[in-house]
Amino acid sequence: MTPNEGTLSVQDLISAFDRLTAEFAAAIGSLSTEQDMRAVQARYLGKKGKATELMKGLGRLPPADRPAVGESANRARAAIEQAVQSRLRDLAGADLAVDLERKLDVTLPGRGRRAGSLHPLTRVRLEIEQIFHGMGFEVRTGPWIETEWNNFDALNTPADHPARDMQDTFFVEGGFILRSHTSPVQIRTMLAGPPPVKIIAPGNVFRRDDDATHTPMFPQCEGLHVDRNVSFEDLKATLIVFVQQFFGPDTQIRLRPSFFPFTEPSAEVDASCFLCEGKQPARSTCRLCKGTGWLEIGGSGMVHPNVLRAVGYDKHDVTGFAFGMGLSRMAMLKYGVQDLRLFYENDLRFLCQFPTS
Amino acid sequence: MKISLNWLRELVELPAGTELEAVAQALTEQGLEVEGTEAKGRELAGVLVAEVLDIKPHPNANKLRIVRVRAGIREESVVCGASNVPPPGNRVCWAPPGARLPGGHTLDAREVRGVLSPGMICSEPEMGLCEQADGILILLPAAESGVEVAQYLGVVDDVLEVNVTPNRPDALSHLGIARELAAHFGTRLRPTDLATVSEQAGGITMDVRIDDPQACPRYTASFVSGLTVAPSPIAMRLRLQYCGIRAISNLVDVTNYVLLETGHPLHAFDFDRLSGPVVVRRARPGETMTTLDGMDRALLAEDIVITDGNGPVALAGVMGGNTSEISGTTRNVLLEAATFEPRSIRRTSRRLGLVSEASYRFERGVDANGIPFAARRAAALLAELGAGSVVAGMVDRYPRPSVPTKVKLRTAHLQRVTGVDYPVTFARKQLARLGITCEMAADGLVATVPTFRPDLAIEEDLIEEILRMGEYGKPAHKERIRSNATAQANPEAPADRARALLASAGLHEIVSWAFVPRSALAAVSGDGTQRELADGIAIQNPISSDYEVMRTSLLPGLADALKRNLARGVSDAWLFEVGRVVRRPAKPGEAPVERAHAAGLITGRRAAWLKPGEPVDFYDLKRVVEDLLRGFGLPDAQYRAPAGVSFLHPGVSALVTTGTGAELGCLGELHPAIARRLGIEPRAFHFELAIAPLAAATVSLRAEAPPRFPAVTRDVSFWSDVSLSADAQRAGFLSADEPLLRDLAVLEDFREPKYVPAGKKGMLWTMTYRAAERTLTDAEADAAHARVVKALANLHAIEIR
Repeated sequence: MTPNEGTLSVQDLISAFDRLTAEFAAAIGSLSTEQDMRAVQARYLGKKGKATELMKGLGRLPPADRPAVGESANRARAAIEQAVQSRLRDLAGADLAVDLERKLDVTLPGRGRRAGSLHPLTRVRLEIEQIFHGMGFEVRTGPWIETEWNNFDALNTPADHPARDMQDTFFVEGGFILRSHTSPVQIRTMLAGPPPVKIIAPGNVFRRDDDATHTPMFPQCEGLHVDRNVSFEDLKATLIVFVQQFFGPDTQIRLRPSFFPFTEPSAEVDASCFLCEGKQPARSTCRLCKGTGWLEIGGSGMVHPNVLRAVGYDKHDVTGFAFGMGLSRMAMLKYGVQDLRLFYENDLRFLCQFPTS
Repeated sequence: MKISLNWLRELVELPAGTELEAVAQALTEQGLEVEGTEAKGRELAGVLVAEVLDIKPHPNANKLRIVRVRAGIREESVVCGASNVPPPGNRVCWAPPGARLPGGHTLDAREVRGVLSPGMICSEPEMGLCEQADGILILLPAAESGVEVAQYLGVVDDVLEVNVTPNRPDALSHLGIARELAAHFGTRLRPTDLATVSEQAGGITMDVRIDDPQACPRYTASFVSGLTVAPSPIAMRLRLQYCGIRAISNLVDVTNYVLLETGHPLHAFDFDRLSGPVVVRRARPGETMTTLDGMDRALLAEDIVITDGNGPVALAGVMGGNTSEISGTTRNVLLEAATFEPRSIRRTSRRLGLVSEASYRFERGVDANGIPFAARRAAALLAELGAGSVVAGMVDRYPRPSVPTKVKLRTAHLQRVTGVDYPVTFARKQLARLGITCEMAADGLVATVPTFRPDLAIEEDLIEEILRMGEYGKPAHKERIRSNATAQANPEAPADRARALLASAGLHEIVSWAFVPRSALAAVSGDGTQRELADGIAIQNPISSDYEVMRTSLLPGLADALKRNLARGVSDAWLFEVGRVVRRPAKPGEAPVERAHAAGLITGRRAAWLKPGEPVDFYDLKRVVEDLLRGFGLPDAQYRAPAGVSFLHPGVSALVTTGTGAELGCLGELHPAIARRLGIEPRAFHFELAIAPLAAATVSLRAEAPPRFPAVTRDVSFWSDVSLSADAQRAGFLSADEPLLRDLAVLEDFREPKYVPAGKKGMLWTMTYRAAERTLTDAEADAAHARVVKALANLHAIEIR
């Protein structure tokens, strides 16, 4: 319909706007993009659009009638915009529904290269360092190639003493040895400054042993705490905190008298078996503790006065405790590894089981 | 050390019902760790001591006889084939029907050549007591008829393997262990009956002189005459066997028995082969002797020798000489019980590689005051065995008497070291259990330490003894963890950081030996062209040639691990190791230089999804190294070809430096020739970086807010000479100093000969432009891009495509 100006009444104009709304809704009913809909919308509401043309008739109406027509024009504008929005919502809903029908096999593996792994001996060392760090121990390290004095003499183990048999030593050229324990780090640390000293010394050590239960190189972690009034009770307390964090909160320790040249009194440290928990009947068949209920984890004791003297500390001023453990043994216990050699075969099928943490 | 439980029970009273497990636990808790126990003689049961009543011939066989035996109230006639059946009145071992023999054999009554035999009369091998013997075992007439043979001989026994620490020479014997048990259980030692020694007056003797009292503080000689060399009785042989010593003959067995019982080594000389007098002295330079293993030994002044008029007859405490050795015809014996300087014994025994039960004890210290007891015990046993007569008058030279030492213990120190307020009376009580008497002092006590405990020299030693008797096992009285005053950086932190970065980059950590075969260093060093790699620090006493020199590089260990994995069918192997290498010091005499390296070796295929990926190449390796360096805060590392190292491919390798030129290491393809020598077939890619410069170059992390205005990208595509590296092109672009240029990256390096002019390559770069405070217009971006491209064109011949 072409509006014939001058002949249109107020009612005609109002119904023309209403028709316009219905016509627009039909015009966009088949469109599927917003761009197309906006193009059609411009033909109705744009400068030369149909609604604009109708509004030109407004000026010829009596002023009293104008507000009613203006209101219907505004209603038509709003309805047209609403129709666009509504149609867009319908379209989006349909797209979404299609999109939501996609389905993957979530059981296929993920894409890309897998993360690597940390060696079990590294993992166990990091865990031990963290536990002792929490108790205020600092990490200290020292060289592999050591002097006999640092490795033995300063540790109350003079030459020609049977205690040297406890550690069969490698000699290297130049009059040095490969350290047989990390105790030289204790000596170096104490020589470097006055007490207090509270350190742990992780690192590789070397002994001339090579069989099913010994490797010529193995990692160890020793601890040393020297200060005023450090006692055997402090040693016990430190060790119990350690085993409970490492093996579990119900773990107990057992100290047994022993001999190390560098400590007096000396003690072997056993932790209660976390597998059978020392309880029968599981204990009698426990392959971890071999029926004893206890796991040997290391040695310990009060620092021998001769060691304190060797580094220039005064035993009347300070006392101290020291302890040490083999990390391979700790890793074997922790991860249920039966064969020590696995740690040194570097077989990826074994190593892959220790993802980065 | 092997300890017989039966033997212990003879030496110490134990509370009723104390069985093996309680004994083992007591010793372990007291510091004498029982590492294992072995049940002995359980397979022999029901064999009885039987008196021979009568012997008759077998009606149907010449070599068999019918022996009537009585065991308790039982009497039977048993067929026996042995030729040594003793006359009536003697005792034999009868296995009646139902008795069990080793090997699971149970006896029954069966016919032997037409005569029913209820069981058999046994020989030693049949009862599992020894390997071989002639005829049946004849027991002493005193054996009580009807008693189980296993019980009578002490066949049923438990042997404890006790680990005695080197500070406890006193515990290297049954008596020493018995003493520990008496202290533990609060019981008494049983006295040893020495009254049976009947000494014969006026027999053989020989003078003894000690020339060096430091070398030999005490020497005693006892004399035995009229010796008849014979096997010792079964019970003694069995004990020795259970304790790991082979039985030989009565005299030797007695010396070994006394050694195991008292811990005192004895040495027997054939008296008639000594010219006398006995002189104990240090060996003289150039002196030699033949030890009883037939070896000629050159002696040094540190050795202690026993000499007679003709020179050395024994290497004191280590081994006897062949000229004075006991033989089957020995009639008269000089029995030596002495003590020697531990250090000398140890040096001699180590030097000559002669370690014996005797030297083991001498080098740990033998109590001089226990010597007469040991000598008398040996004499008593010889008399008991009827092996010979003991001559009255032991010659005893004791120039350096060993006296009990006094050790002071301050109560305050006891309390300080233990952390427990033990009263001094408690200390005294604990020490008393160990036979240590104490006098009270104003501030503590003074202990008198018996001479058999040389390990107790200072007050800390006494503290251990006080705690050892039950205090070790008590739980800690209170929580006593103290914090630390200062907290210094963990020196291992950079190495651990490298480990974490490499593992998250997809590599697996390995641990290899710190020592490698020399051949491996020869391979990686290109047979020495890379000198610092070839010249490793040597181990002077390696276990094998696989462990003969300290590693100078991590490559041999990685290559070995890769080779093993390839051999096991693992073809995708990304390995790394973080550890130390050892290099020769700059100046001879200084300690070798140890430095931490991080190294990797990768081979296999790139990750592709559900299908095999492309083989990995240099750029996969480079991404690993880049991520490692980024993780350390080093985004501006430089890569310069060639690396110029022997072990990498000359065209596929680079030296890595920091932005300021400090050398970090190298990366590249493993040199094909060296890969072949190391046994690696597929292409493998290797990097090795030093940790210290990496950690030193670390820049602390600074972050900036993300840009507020959008960026515009522009690409440029051109031909350049093949030799113009990406880094050089980048530098050319950057020479424009264009402030709007925020980033640039290579999108393509195109070298397909079909499309690319000879000697050229097609490059495609993309540049990102952005202003900090506004949105760039297209025109501004175009202008900036033109300036950047022109900067490169000004420096190098490029042809825009």
